[in-house]
Amino acid sequence: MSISLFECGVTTKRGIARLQPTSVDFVPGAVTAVIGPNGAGKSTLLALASGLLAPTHGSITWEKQGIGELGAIGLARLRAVLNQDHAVTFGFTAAEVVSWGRNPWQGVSTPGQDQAIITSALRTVGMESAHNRPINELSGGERKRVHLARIIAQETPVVFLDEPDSDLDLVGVEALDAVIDHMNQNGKTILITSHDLSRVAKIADHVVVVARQQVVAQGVVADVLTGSVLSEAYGTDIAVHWNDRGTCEITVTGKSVHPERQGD
Amino acid sequence: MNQQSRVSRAIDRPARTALFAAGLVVILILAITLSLFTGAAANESVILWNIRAPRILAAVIVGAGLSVAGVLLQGALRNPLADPALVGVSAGAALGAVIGAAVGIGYNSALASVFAIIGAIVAMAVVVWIARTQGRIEVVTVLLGGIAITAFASALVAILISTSDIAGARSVSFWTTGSFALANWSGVIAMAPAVVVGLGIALWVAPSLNVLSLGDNAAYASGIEVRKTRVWALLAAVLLTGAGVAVVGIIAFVGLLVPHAVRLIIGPAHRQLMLVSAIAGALVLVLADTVARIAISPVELPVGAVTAIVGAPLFLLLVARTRSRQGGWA
Repeated sequence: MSISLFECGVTTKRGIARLQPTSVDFVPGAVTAVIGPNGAGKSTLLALASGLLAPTHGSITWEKQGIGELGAIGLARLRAVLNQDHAVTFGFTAAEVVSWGRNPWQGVSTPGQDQAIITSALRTVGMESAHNRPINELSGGERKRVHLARIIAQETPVVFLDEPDSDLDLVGVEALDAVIDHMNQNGKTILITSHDLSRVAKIADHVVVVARQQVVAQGVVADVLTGSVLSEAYGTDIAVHWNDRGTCEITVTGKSVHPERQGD
Repeated sequence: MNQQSRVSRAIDRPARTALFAAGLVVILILAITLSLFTGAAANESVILWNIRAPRILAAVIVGAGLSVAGVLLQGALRNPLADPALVGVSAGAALGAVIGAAVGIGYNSALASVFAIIGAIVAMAVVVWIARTQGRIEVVTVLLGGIAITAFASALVAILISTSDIAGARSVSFWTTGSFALANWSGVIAMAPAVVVGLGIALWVAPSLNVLSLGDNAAYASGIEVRKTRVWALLAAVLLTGAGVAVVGIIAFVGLLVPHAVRLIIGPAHRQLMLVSAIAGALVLVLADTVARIAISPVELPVGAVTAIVGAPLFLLLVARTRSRQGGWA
């Protein structure tokens, strides 16, 4: 599933750019990480590509089709989105929340098939014991896993994950990476944002770097995760060291040249 | 142990819902029978059929309508404190009906219902428009907007009634506290179609309201047409409220508290919640009207006063609970 942004940008009504016009091609079947400092425009880029936000400039195409022509259901059969807001009003159970992932497939799959998919998705994220528990009684990390199960249950070829690791503990992150790996092996296209650059180096094939409301670099991991690119993007000296096992160590060596950004 | 009991509790949910609904229907039938034969002239069929029967049926219809309207408003605004009276919709409907009377439309008529529904739509639109910030509808602003709309509409009702002879038996206090005393067969016929249509839309939109609990973005990402869902839900709430207000005035707290109580017992899934809340709301107003009628007979209490006496303290408890759970207002 190829997703292309052409000269695509967002300017607010007050004329403030949330993302400067930019062109990005997300590689089908790959894991692409969108990285950059807080407030740089990562989530805006993801919201544009996933159709949650309409661009004020440029165009977005999915398999050469304009994103606006797909419709809510059509788009929901192509992509699932894990966003950063996990609040659910009223006391719905984990299983009910996961069942909403099946919404785009109403009339296509049977209730029995849906039940099996829901149970299996909860098992994949290790939350089968929470099946009938109200989601609001779960911890932040557990809720995130239930929402991840909802995304799995949606069974889409493209998956957007906006900071999926933010509330997770060590084991949770391992489980998340296993899920991402499994999805990727099944041919899914995955777009993810994260602040954990060492993990990005481990799980991503491609990286898009966003800084100061624009895309400053994009390409395969080894080309983009370099000291010079990251130092420029984050406004401080950053050293990148690839060791023999192919893992990547990233350390901040300089002082921030954007002290006003330290607070966020 | 705790988790185990939770699990077994939730597995039984469909069975519990059916049992609870059946129990409510039985109690409702008993309450209707009790109400029909309570009071003066209990053995005169003219009084029973021409006065008491339409009055009780109006209580059933309005109670069901307000309760389902509450479910819709709470779901569509993602706001557990929404109620047709609290968000200003009821006052808008009252103003619509009184404006209708001012231009010569009789009470308890279909046209009066139409005027009330238009008033309710305007009030709803203003509140939603004010409360919208960056595509989100703020809880506190909805309630503050509701207060302002209610004050404004009630003031216009008072001015229209005190400067003309349109009131008939419908005084200012009739509109603000509600009464079933003036509900007759033509009033029942005038409000029933809007309530039936509203209920149909409500049940149709219910599954989408479930997914809307995720928030607008995640709901859209799951294939929900968020704007369309919200417009239909609010329109249904307006239909379920407006026509009833034209006949019986403003009755507060029913639409707020009935869905809450029912949700505690059967869970939040909207379609079941609407159906059971409709029965429970009918029961609450039949009982409230019976109390209003016989408590200090021969003088009648306003039914809205009965619901407010019980409802306002419960609302305060609910506010405190919601606030502590959210750690402040969202």
